[in-house]
Amino acid sequence: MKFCTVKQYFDDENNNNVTNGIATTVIPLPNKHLKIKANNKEMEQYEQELLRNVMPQELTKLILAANYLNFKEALDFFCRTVANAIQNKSVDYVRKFFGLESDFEPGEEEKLCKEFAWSFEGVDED
Amino acid sequence: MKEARPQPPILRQKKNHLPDDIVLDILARLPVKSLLRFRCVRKSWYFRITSPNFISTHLKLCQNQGYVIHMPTINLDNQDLKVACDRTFDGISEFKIPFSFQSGLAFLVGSCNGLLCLSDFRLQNSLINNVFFGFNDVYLWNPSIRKYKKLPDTCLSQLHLAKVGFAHHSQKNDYKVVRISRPFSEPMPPPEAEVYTLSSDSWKRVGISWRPNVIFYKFSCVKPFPFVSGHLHWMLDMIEEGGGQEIRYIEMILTFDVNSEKFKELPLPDDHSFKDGKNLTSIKEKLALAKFEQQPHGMLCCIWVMREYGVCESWNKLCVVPVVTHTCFIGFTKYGSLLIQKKTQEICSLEDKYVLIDPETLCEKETSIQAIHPLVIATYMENLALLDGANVISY
Repeated sequence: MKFCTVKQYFDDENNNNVTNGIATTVIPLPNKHLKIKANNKEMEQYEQELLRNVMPQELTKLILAANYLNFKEALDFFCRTVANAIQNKSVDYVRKFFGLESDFEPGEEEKLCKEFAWSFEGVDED
Repeated sequence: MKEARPQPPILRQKKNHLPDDIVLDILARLPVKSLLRFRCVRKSWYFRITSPNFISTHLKLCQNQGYVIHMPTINLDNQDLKVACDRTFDGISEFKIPFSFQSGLAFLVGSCNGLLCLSDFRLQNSLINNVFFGFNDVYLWNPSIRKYKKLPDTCLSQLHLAKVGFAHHSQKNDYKVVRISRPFSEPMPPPEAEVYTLSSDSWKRVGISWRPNVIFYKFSCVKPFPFVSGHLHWMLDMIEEGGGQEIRYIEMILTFDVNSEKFKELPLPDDHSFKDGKNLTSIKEKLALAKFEQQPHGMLCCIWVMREYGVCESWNKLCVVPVVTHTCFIGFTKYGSLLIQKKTQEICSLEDKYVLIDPETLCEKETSIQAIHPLVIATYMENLALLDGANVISY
């Protein structure tokens, strides 16, 4: 079943960049998982290597692909990676990353930020 | 000629727009500090992060952070709560207790999912202006979001000798505090009990049906009592009314089922005489008993484990460890290692080391803990509990 969905995905997806991304990262994952299933540390290192050259913004596309392919391990891995990538970022960075806009009334956002002002300390510069 | 094929779902969405369930999956993996900040991203994120459902989902991923907290059991000089690694007890950080107690002494009642319960501790019978201070101040505190809440006053007539227990009600994802108090009057009535529920923010009385012919004498020990298998446990010394001159002292384990809110008695191992002291504790989520025996060459601490909850025959002796006094027994880590204060003599000194002992092999591993007084330890994790709470104070 996996082969069919993958083939259909490649046939229908007309964005070459995404296709490349999938080919180099998502596809090799199941085999690698099977080979080093028992060893978490090795898998972690492999995953770090794999994503070293992928920009965080590209991850969104990879997540969508893994979701479509119903590939749980890859989805889990990509979500974990995004969480690590954004955890120390500013609110603005996160908005841009997810393509979101603030919908707070003027002054509302400021009030919310003040409530946990200490959580804004030590955040990465944008 | 190619047949028209249905567009795969991915193209129907806005390019690069992640579906809600995936965004939630990512958010649930974030540390507490990030989540508090990202409440400000937009309204839907604010409502999602502060919702009880999300707090509960996030908690499931918080279970293996590897922290333990410790502080002196009787915190005489208001020391900070220390956070350490739960395998080695190497120090990581400290939390200053942000509130104070009438009696001046903070006592750690328990830790559930990183939500802490502290009460005040009365060191001796102190009658001030004809009022006994007795465990009236109880706080729930989440250091990872810097919020705490003082519980409302008791609904019992009077608090004298009281013991408090703290539990997580998993069926309703709620938290409960149970207080058993012995009022001070002549003749002495049996102890009364009340239970506080976080979701209703109120106390209510709960009845205890005692065995006939037994009178409550006292609680057995100072240390916090274990929460195991959805039950809180207290060790009590009782007097059995004979008919005759002889007074017989017996011990019993009183349990409180957090779901049904009922008290019951739990059987003790048959081989029990606790004249040298005992301590109810837990090891790897099983109820355990530390029984102390004074021998000619020193004191022994025997650990019994109730392998199958509620079954008397399942009490099993796990190990025996030499200790100098019964206060040297601290407790078990999440991984089942026993933490002991290794003293060189009966009085406390900075020379005393804390060691971790493997109950199976009795191998010892020294920790870097430096503390004169006996400690209380509890598992800790960062979580969002109290974020959605009423009457909560930020600091």
